[in-house]
Amino acid sequence: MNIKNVKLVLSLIFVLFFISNGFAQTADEIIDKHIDAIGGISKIDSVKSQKVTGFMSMQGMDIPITIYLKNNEMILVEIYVQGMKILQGYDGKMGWMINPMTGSKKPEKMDDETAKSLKEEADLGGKLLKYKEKGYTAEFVGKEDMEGTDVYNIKITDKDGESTNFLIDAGSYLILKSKAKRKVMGKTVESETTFGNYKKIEGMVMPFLIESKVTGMDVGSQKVLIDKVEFNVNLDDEIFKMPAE
Amino acid sequence: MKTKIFFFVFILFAYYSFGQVKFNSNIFGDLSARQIGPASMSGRITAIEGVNKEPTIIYVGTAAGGVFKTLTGGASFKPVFDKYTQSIGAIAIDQLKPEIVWVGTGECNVRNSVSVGTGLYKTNDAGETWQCVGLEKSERISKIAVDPKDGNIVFVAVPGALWGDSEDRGLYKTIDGGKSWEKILYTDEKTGCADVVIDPKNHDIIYASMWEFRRTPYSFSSGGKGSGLFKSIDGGKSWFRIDKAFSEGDLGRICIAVCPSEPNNIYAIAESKNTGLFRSTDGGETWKKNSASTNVTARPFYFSTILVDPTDANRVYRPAFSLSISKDGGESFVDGSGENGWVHSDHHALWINPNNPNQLYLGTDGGVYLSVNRGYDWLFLANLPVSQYYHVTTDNQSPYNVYGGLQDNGSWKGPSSAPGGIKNKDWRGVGGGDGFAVVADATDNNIIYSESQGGNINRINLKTGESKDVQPQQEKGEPKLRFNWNTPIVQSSVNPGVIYIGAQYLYRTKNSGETWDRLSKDLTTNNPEKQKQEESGGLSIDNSSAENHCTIYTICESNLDENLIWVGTDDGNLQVTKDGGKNWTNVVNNIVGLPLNTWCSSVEASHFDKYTAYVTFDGHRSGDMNTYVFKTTDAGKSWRSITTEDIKGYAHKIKEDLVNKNLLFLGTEFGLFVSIDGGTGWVQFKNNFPNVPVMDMDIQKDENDLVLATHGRGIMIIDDITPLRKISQKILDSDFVFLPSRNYFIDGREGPAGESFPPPAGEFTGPGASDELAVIYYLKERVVTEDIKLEIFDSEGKLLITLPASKRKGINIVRWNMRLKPPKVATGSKFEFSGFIGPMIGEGEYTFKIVKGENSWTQKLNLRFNPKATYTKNDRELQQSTAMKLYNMQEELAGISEKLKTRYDSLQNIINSTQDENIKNILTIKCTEIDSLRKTIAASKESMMSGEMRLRENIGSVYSSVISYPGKPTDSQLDRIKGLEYEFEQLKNKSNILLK
Repeated sequence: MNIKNVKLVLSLIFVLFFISNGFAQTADEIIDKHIDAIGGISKIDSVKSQKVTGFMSMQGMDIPITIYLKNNEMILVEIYVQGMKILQGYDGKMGWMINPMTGSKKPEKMDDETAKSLKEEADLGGKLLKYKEKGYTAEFVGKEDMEGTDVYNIKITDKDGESTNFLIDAGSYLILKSKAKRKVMGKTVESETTFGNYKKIEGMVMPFLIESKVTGMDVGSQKVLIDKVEFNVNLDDEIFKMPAE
Repeated sequence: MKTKIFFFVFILFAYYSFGQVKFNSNIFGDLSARQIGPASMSGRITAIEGVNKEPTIIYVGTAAGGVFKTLTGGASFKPVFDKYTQSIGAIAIDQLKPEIVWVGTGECNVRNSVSVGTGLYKTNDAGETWQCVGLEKSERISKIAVDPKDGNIVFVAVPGALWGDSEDRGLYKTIDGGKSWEKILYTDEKTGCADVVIDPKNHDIIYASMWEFRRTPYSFSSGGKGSGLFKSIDGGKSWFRIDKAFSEGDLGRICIAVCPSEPNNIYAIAESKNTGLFRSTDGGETWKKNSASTNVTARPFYFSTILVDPTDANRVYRPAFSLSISKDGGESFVDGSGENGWVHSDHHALWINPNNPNQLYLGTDGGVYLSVNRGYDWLFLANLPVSQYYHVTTDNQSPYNVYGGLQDNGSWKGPSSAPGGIKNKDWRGVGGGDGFAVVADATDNNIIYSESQGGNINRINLKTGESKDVQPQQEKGEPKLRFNWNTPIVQSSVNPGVIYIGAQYLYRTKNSGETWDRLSKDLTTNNPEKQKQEESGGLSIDNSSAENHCTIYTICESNLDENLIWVGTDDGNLQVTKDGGKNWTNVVNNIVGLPLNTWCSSVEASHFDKYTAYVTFDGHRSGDMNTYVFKTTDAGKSWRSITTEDIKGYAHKIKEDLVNKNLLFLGTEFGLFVSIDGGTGWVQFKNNFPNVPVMDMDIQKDENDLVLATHGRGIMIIDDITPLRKISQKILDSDFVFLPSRNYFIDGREGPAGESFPPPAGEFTGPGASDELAVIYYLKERVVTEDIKLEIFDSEGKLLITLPASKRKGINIVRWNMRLKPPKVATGSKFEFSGFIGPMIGEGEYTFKIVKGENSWTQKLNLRFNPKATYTKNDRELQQSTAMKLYNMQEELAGISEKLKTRYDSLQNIINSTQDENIKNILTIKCTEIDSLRKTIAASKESMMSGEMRLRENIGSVYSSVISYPGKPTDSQLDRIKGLEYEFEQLKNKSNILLK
């Protein structure tokens, strides 16, 4: 695993657990059904924090990963490689990271674009939930065939014009795939995330297999397998803040 | 009775509930095409348009490779039109809202090999999604003019059908962004609209040229009564002609340019018996004839572009054979290209950045070039893989090579796979001109036969670089030989090294082209009316061998019997001999439902049954766009159509699989189609495979790859079709089935020698084949709510590795690099790279278990070392035992390091909690000892560049070297391990003391 790969992994890891969006009547209907399918709005609202434990699988090598989320605005991602911690955090105001892969264990402020992506991942309900309140617009692109399965394509666009398309299974209303476009270093980078192995945990339905790849890059996909999801765990705000050196 | 009805309903219900899975495009699942290019020579470019406000965004339209877009001024491109028709006639950007782009399909450089379009397309999101917005029957669109003040007003020039009459030609206008269209200028069913320009300062003024033209399989005609140049001053409501000055006789194709800075200045190149460049300074009222140099007046049907500099009305660009540039309003021209580096000839498109007229993008028959000095010097953009192959063959090397020839771009040999990907430099030119068949002598891979247009065949010795013309010559008393533009050259599969070529006669050589045996009489219709190519071209005679007719077009020798040979001709004969050429029978009349004289595009003799054969016919050059595919089982006495409505496009090539006789592949103008039931049903293969013309196919026997010659996107390879050979209705109806793959061998080479840098931008790199073992299975349904994983066990049942498995409907592929998990390494201040790669597995039986929720399925595979490798079994075994020794040392070291850490932490806890200074002091000393021992285990300094080598790094270094080479470790490495073992023992002793 070289440094480039790790960076890629980090940029992809902020994977959403529930996501949604809508604009026309139909988009809203689909989104509502999706929200119901993943547990319902009141259930999702009752979740204030979350701890997700799992690992990234790289040709049999299991790299442990833990993600902490709180109040839809704080996130901390911990990855352990060879006993060393790679950290990425967003404390509600700023993003930061510690990446020993770069040869330094000092915390560093994160660039705004990456911080924005990280912040989005802190959104416990995902983009589709209450998308209007979050300032997003939703568009029902259409019903289409995704690798043989009928899906609804819902496109969410934020104020910066960055968009994510969610391909929602027409049967279960679970998200099978999302395609995101993000500006990285002034260039649009497209990534694709596939969701699988949905499981019901305390009334919430969550994907336990998340597979991400950057479109057009010959790096292969990154697979994250979730072992455990815990809701409303006690998380101190301090853990999300950039540590002193 | 009631019972019966009930029973019937029940059956019906049962059918719908548990109905059969129909073979469809999704079944291909993870089987995907590998687009390997090349882009060394790129291909024909038909349109280039940039975004004026943001000129690093450029759209490039190609002859049959779709639309590519760059955001970086050409440093990198991506295709944005793959789901639609790939032949592009015109592109236009709404410069007021540049996310709106119009694409007209159907190229209008109407050479013999030109493709067809399916209408006009529009995107509102900069190429993300496209909608067809009409003109579906236009066949080809040459120009789209968007009103500069109102993007909803658009004019579209439709030359229309090339090979027949059509009322869908003419000039079209929309005022509602494409919702509705009005034909505003029309002459007759033979005359289309070739060009349209809106006056940039007064959008009521429109210029449009009309063009009468026609192709047949054997001729071309440009010009006629219908042609002319028209002007409207009321937005296209009424029109008047402004072409009296051009010629007293008929006109042909006319291209026009209006000066952006001074719109009364107009340039036109008007084809006539006396083709010329004309300039008007009064909006077309009067004209002055200017330069008539060869390049300016060249091939008007093929070169129909003229442009004026955005700011200088006297600066004129004429892309044709080369790029001619005039500074004096077309009085004189200089050749702009070539001085500091070659530019491919034959130019069709030019985009000038209106805000920086020094910056030009030129579209040629060989890709896109960029100039930053007004066209005097050019940089080639080597990243557009839009080559137009006619044929493809493969050899038996490893990796195998692909050979083939391209329209406009010679003939090439390149590897099917290469370390780090197949780069432009990996391709070797093996012939010039337009390239067609290239055949490597199966008895000597250094000898290849390479063809250029009109049946020119050269024998090339790749070792010496010698090339010898070995084309069969006309014999005494024989009529002139007629070779097709795309003459067939094939190698015997029964007698490797024996080559066939077809003129109107079939020839065979057994001595590398030194002598040719004529095996037939004239096998064509030999219709003299179709052999007047010297008169072809219309107003401008154009006889390049492209219209040669009454020739042999396809040859196939049965691999079961060398005396059984099939020949198809371009004038619709299908001939077969069963006695090596003594007697021939024309069996085309036995085919029911085939129009007379339809071009025979391919014949495929079955590999399983001597008298079974498949044939395709292609009538598009006569205006017949139907798909014709037939099968015989009695050597041509009777034929059955195996065409279905699922096939799109006229047929170029049919190929029968080498293993499963029911598996058929069909290449048409719009893509690749596959049948698993001998032609009863067909589905399109769409995985990473655009709707690109498929001209030829080969199946490489060792790798079981389907290799395809596309006429627009280079070579495509579908790696390992073994699983496809097993797909049957029974499999489709199963929930889960393991499918076979080709043989994978344990190899263990790590990384390509000398290929340490990833490919740069600016150059196309085709992906290489994966050498990782593929576990393949079929899933009837996508797995959404269950876990699915692959567990791999060794012969003793020990679980080696667990991998997440693929979950899609259809064919799934999970890859394993045949290595164990990487070793656990001691924690240090830096990453230890030996901790990211595992040792290769050994030979033996392995069990592969797919676990899906509660269910699981297993298959066993016997994995062997690559028999082609040069290492001995002993070498292998020594390598493996050495690697495992180091692997175990590394893991044991990690364990010791962890124990020391734990001890250290617990001692620190006591130090922190105790009040006893004595204990504190003793334990602190012990902690210091542990800490210094740990510093000898792994690097501890906080710097990436510390260069610190401790035991972990030293073991890792030898380990990495040993596992990267599958043969014997060096003696030096083996010695080094002894030293490391000694150091390790010492460390263990020290640690044991400290841990007591």
